[in-house]
Amino acid sequence: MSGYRLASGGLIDRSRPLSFTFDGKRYQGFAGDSLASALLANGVELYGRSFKYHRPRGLFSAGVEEPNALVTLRSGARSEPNCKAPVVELFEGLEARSQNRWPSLGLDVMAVNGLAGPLLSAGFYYKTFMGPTRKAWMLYEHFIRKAAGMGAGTLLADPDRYEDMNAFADVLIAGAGPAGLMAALAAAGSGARVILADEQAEMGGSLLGSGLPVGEVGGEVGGDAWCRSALAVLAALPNVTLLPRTTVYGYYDDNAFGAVERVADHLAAPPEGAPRQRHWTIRAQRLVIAAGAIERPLVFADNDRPGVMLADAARVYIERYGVAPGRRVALFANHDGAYRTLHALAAADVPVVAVIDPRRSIGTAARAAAEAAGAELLTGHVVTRALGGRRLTGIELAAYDPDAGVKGPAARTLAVDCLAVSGGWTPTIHLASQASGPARWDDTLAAFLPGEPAQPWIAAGACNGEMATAACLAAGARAGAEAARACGFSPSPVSIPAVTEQLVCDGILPLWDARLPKGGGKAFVDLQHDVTASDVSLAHREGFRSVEHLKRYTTLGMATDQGKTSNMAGLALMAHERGLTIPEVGTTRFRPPYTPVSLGALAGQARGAHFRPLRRTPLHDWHVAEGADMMEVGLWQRPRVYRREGESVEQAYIREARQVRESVGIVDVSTLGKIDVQGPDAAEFLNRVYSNGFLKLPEGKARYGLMLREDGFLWDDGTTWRLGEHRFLMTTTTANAAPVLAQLEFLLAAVWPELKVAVTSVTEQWAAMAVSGPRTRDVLAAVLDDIDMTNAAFPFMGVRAGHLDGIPVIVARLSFSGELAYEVYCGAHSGEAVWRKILAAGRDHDIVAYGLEALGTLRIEKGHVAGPELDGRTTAEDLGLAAMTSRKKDYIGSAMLDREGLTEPKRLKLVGFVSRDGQPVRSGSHLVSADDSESPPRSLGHVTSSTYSPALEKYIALGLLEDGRERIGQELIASYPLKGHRVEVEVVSSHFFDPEGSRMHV
Amino acid sequence: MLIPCPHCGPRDVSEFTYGGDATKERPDPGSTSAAEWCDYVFARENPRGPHLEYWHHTQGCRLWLKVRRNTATHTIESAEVVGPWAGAEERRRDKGQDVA
Amino acid sequence: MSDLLSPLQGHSEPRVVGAGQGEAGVVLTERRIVSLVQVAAWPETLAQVEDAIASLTHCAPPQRATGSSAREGTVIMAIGPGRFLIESTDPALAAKLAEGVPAPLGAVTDLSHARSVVRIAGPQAAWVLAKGLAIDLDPARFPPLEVAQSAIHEVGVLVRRVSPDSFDLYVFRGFALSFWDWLTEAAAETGYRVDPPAKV
Repeated sequence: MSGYRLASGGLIDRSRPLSFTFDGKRYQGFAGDSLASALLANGVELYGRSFKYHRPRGLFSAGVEEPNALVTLRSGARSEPNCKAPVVELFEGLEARSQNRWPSLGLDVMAVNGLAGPLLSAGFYYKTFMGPTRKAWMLYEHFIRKAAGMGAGTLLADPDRYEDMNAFADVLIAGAGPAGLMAALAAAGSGARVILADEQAEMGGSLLGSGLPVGEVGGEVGGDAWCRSALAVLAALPNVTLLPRTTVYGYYDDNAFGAVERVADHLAAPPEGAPRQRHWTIRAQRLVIAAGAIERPLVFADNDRPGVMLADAARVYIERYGVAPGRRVALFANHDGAYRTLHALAAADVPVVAVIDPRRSIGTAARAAAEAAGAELLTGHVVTRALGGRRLTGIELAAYDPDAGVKGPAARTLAVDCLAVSGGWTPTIHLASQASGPARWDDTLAAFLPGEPAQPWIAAGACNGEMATAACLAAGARAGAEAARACGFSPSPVSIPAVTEQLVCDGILPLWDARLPKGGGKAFVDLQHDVTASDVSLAHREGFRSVEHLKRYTTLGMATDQGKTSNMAGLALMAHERGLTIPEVGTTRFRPPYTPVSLGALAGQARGAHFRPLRRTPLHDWHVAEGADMMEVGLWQRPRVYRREGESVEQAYIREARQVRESVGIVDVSTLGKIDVQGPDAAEFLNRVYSNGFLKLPEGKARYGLMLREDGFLWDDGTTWRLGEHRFLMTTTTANAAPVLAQLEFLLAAVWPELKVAVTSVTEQWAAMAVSGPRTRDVLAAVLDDIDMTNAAFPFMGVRAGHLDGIPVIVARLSFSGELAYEVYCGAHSGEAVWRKILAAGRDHDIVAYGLEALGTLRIEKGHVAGPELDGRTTAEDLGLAAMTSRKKDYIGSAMLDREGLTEPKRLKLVGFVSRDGQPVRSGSHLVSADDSESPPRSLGHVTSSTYSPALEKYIALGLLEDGRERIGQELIASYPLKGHRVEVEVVSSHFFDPEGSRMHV
Repeated sequence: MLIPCPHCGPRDVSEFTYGGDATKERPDPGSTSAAEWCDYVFARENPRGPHLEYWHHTQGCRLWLKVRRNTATHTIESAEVVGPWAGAEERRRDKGQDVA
Repeated sequence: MSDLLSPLQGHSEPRVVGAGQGEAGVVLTERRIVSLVQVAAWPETLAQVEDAIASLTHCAPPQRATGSSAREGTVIMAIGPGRFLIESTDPALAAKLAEGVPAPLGAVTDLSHARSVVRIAGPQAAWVLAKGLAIDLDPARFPPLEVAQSAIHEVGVLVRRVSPDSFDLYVFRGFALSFWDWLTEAAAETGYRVDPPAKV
């Protein structure tokens, strides 16, 4: 194919040259060119190597269906593989590279795969390399992937931004060709909110560059001009949104649509602040599908030679881009519509050698077109083979009989450098297929049409089998009006422009196989995945006969083009093998996306720092300023340790925990779930929610409570404070804050609607800090204005409201650390001020801020349970909390508490462990007998939490152990085979430190 | 999928949390056999077709809803508020215009 | 009051970003509100609670299920059946409401520190919001005074349309900075101006 730029014509701007490179070589095109049209204009013939056989490939189409001309765009971090050259808009400085060739496009050593042709048939890799073991495949896969493939993505981070957008409309129209434009005009006039989306930069579809006269009779205008005037009308309407460069790729429940707008793909880099692409989620009451149709190729030997091109694509390159596709062209087609290309070729003075048509008779207008182009008309013939290697040099012809098929041997050879082929048109039913029943077969088009809608859409134009422009315009007007009416609007009729008669895809003679019997050569069905007609036969012979099996066995239609040009021929060949009709064989359902969607567009802003939102406590800035190691706990950011210079994490938490036991420490506990529980029935409600009693909790007191699930297992724990007769403040674990609130809301709505209780999350209202250690009372007494801190006035579990240096606070005397301790709650905005005031007051008492690690150390030393023990598989009895499960009342979980499995004596029980050899005990270790006779040894339980205990000066741990309490005193091994870690441990009580609790009651 | 929240209007399913089978009624703990409890806690139908489900409008008004949904087509026939405020929104909607 | 620290302190300071020579598409302002209180009535006490609110705030509660009302320093937003969220310049609002709406009538919860409020205004405000908010912001469907509770970037948000071109966004305090960072990133396309934090 030696294309060249025509002196005139097309929608390109010859006054605006653009320079670009392909494989490092500099070329020039014009504004309005696609990368493909610019390369074609420069005479480039070879665009890439094929997926499996590394065959030379040229430009095949002028749209998203392109199977061959895939390139890698840009370089470095913006490098993007598998871009279809026909839909890449040319810009100044564009860099493109060909793919799947080594060392270069012209000399490709992998092309030897082509010689080994018959070996690489369908299923070859699996049959050969699966071997006797899976290992063989694992070994070879790496090399196979390297040899067969597409472009390579970059490993560098994408420097561009992507965004989401939500939109709502009455009518969404997918496709802005003649049908879509008319639909928009018809719907928008009624006042309906209309979104018109089209994948191309310019709207107009098949009218673009078309000289087809469209317009009022007498005042005829070209298709282009009509498009421009229609778009001007639409652009001026406030109820219309035009989305060019936007592909509606997916159809979802309740008429939600996914669409990708390529905001800046046509620029070297996005302008500052702008996203590269924008993902639209569109909700519309009605969808008008005006997606058009895709031309399909014909199957003959070596039909992939560069120079073989879809017939309408050849026309588009001439009419829209002002580029001739070759210097000696032939047309091979089986319907009248393809003869339209002859008009374009003749108008551009491109010599047409011959027209080859399998039909015996053709339409008058088609015959006239052939004559006007000066072409030899060879009806009753087919092209059986394309000649040439890296470029098309000629074609072989044979006679064809509709009943007997191809009659060999080849009758003639013609020298051509471009063969325009057309096997008919395939309506683009993808979107409809995603929301409809099975596709309907249409005999006159030899194609599938949309099935029965399962959601409210209307198809119009070529995608619905209405192939003539006049029919598209009329169908669009009808669909637009119908859609608006369905949304409650009253559209008035719009005038439909007249279209002079044209050649349409009439009188098609289905032709699925033009190979010579025993002719040799490769006849491709799927160009992108290198699937041949023989592969389809092989799949049939090997029993992969249903369309779903055919697809998966041969990979037909599974490349990045999803078989847009290949599926029909594949189905037809399989139907022929099976002796069935095509509709009997059926087609696979299309799934989103219609064209590939970049992961960046799907991620939108949710990447990097915005991968997920961060939740910060009111003391966050202080922690960061203090150099804390922050860690993620759910969405929360929490301080792990405040390391001093040269300290390890372990040294830091040991120092912090020791200081708490020796003097005083303060820790941020703002992440605890806090729920405001109010109402006349609040106490009754809590009494039904907790396993222990809450009815008699006095005002000004807190109580530790356990929550069970309905199945009797432990769920959550925390303290709840009675602030008033009808007012409680419930705290939950950090992790369960949201689920507990949702469960309380559920119980009040669905189970006990008679209870007058309101529950509200106040987690964010309060900053919370726990102050612990023997000197805590002195510190707090110094800053609290109006709370009597004496043991008598403010006993253990007491709750008091007051002020801390003028700031309103609630103080509760609770201890998680086992020391004399208080929790101080204040308004979140005052959190940092209160924290700083307590620190200042504690300076003389050697106060320390401690993090999550030390918090864990202190609670493990006390044997308090937390998340690792409340793992959803433990009961209150397992954790030694059986006394808290009341036998006197009904509550959530009480009914199933005593079932067999939960009272089983062999259940794992909470105990403590002390490392005997000075080694740390790893959480997750299995507990096994010290006697090694069993191999592998039976697990007796596992370690849940572990730490170094500064109080005991040993490594200690909590864990769940079979017969746990009976094993106290025994020696076991805590084994972590994945890390080869074995520690000798002694089973002890889980109350390691101050088991009498004397320290917190002082 | 859109769930027609009686308070907020139709919203995307991502704002809601699934709450399970809404045909189950919690038995009275005082007078229920273990087998009945097991049925309430564990036994769930998985119907293909119409189903009555609880959904929580977690990221909206926080109401619990009973939603009649076809599990095969995702068509939603109705969504009602559960609990003391059941039916309240229908009474309140379009009661009048607000002014600043 | 100097002891109060906004989670957007140091982030919501005045600046102009990405507007080039032209006008910024949106103006962002942190509103440092004084009081924010939730009142929940019981079904049979709703009318009494509405009366109590009206007499304490001098502002009639909204009538529409998802409406709001405003008068002289008070904004009342309907957030659920029998539930209102009341914003006020009166620092004692929570205490007054707790007294006026005792337990037999309903529940009063102080949320003054629990939310951060950002106002987004300007000709592109709806466009920028729509990048994260899956709610139809067409003025005919979401008119001024309308309230919606939804999520932006997984963060729960209450949106109140103040005027055709401006919205107040109430977000959980702990997510405020993450949300602000997201919002300013989303506004980079249109360019944005941050006005100094407002005390009301």
